[in-house]
Amino acid sequence: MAKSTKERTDQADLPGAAAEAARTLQALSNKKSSSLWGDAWKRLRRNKLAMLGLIVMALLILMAIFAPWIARYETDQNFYDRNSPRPYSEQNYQPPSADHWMGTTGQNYDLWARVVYGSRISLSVGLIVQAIVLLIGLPLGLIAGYFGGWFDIIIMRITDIFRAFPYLLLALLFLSIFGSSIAWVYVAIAISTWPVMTRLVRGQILGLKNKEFVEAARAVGVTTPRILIKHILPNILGPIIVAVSFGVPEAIIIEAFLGYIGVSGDPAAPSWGRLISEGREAFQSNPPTILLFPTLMVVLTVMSLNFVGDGLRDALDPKQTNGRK
Amino acid sequence: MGKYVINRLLQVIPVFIGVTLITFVMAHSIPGSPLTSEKLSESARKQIEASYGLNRPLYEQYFIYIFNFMRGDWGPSFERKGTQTVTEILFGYKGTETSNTPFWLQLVGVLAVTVVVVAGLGLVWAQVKKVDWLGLFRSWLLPTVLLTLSAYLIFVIFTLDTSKAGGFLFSLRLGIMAFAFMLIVGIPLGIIAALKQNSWLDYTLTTIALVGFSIPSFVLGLLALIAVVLINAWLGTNFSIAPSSPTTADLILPAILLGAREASIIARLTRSSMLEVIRQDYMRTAQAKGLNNQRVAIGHGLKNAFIPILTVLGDRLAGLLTGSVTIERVFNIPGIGYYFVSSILVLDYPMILGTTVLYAMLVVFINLAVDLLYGYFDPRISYAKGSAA
Repeated sequence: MAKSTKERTDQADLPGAAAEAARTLQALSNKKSSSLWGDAWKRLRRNKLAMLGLIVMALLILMAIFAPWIARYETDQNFYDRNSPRPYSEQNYQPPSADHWMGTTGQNYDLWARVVYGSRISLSVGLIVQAIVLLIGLPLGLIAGYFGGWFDIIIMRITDIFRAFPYLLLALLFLSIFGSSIAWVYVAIAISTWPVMTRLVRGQILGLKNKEFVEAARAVGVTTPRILIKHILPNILGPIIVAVSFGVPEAIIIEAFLGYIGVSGDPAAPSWGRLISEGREAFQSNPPTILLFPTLMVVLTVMSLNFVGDGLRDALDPKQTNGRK
Repeated sequence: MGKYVINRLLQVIPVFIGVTLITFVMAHSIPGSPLTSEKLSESARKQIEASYGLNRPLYEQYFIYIFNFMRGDWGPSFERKGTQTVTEILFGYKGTETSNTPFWLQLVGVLAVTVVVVAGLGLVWAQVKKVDWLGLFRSWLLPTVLLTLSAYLIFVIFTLDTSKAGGFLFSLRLGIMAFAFMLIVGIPLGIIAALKQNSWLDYTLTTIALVGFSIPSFVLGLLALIAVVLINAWLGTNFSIAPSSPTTADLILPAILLGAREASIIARLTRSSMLEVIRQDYMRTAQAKGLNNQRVAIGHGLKNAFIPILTVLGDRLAGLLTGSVTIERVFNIPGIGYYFVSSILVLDYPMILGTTVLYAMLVVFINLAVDLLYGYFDPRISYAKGSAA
């Protein structure tokens, strides 16, 4: 232990001239390579799992956009056949067939149609929640990190309070108060996840704000907003993109769980979580398809998004390890 | 150091006030009342509301609640018509009753005795050996106390009678088992992957870890349910999935599913941390001196690779103890997470507040403990400068 400590301080305390030389060397080698983003894209392309994730996501997004052409039926089309000799109860939860690729739900709706339309909810939750999180978390993190002092203390105490709330509690309370319409679901999930972004941005800025290039900008009289936007933001974009790419699947999972316990979204236009909850209630005496297919869709989406996020982290941010959430 | 600890402890106060206040206000602004489901006459309803203090102004209710909360009386559970208190459901003891010594008091008593005994032994040892106090505290006393305490706690948690203890016990068992699974699986796999870097074994392990990292325990639990149903259907067996009062054996599957994601996270972290350490010069020195690879990796590498892992462990423990909400719902385990969700669905105010505060305090204190331990394990970190926030 003592050995390693000594080793590290030795490296940090290189004699001035040697350090200068090392820095020049590094600057030279940086200049030779192509742009940061080009390099990152190259690294991402080499990552097979990340590319697979990207392709699956593209397909899922297409499915969400073109849902009316893919779903084959309306979500509220009831397939109870009055003329059939079989009684109503036997027609519930039909197993998969050529007519109903994933079978039907307990109310005789086509499961495939519901799953396809459900993708719209899940994907929009992922994207809009992250947009709101950025909208709240980025400015607060910038202010706390750059200005410090009382701003920092107050904002950090607020994030402390929000972080101490148990997982999902705020979202659950929020939806219980305002009802379960999808717009409130976006807000509820964003409210319970924004502190992570604020803390990330703040930490990044603390590491940057005393760097030479920022001081140089300050010295030549660049205004503060311009320093933040032009000089600091581009440098912390990598970690932010990585955080967002992991935040999207997390939001989707939270929505699925909220739907699962029945507080998110409209039962008539169910999200995957709602379908899962219907499946969980029925699955012991019926074909498990209604539980299986929506669950698999969640797995597929979340897994591909995480693959992409993982690839992005390796590509943009090779030094960061997957420590805290 | 002492100043830092006091500072951190003081920070708990605004968090406590913030969490209780926000939860209280939000819970009470949910439309409806806990009594709406009952068919009651107007006067009967008024009477019941008065008996629970629900007719007082909100701020008065808040202060009364906080006052009682501090005394260990977390109120009656509305959902159970006041027949059980929140503390009874969560910890298995009646908050207002003092006739039989509550479980937590026994616990504190035993812990105090343990600390005194261990400290006494340490003092004797210090007299004999003439060691400096701070060094002794760091190298011997603190680890011994911590290890004894955790061993004792785990023993209590797994031997306590579930019919007497409350829901917290299930969550603790679940969390501890998941934590153990995480350590036992995550760290060795991470080390193996790092030592065999770029081999097929490494690729397989990292891919599995990535997949495990990508699937949350909630979905994993659902997949396991489907698997159990299919197995029952094909083999004609009758595995039960959600027994009403789960034994420790019943908790193994949920615990593994809960810990799987954390195990992947730890495995990935262990691997990258090991790889970082292996590249250091002192590793090469040790190899050059002729030590064999295995000994270098374990003896010199692991010790240093462990520091970044340690910082995450406490965070993960807090995550496992509070993150079991979803798995408890999926497997119908009557832990705090289960009560937590159902209390919100039925507007059981005291229960909502009780579970929330319990969760919040768990997170806050585990994080505090982790930060302090981090300083202990990694002397490079100093809290004296007040840089850590």
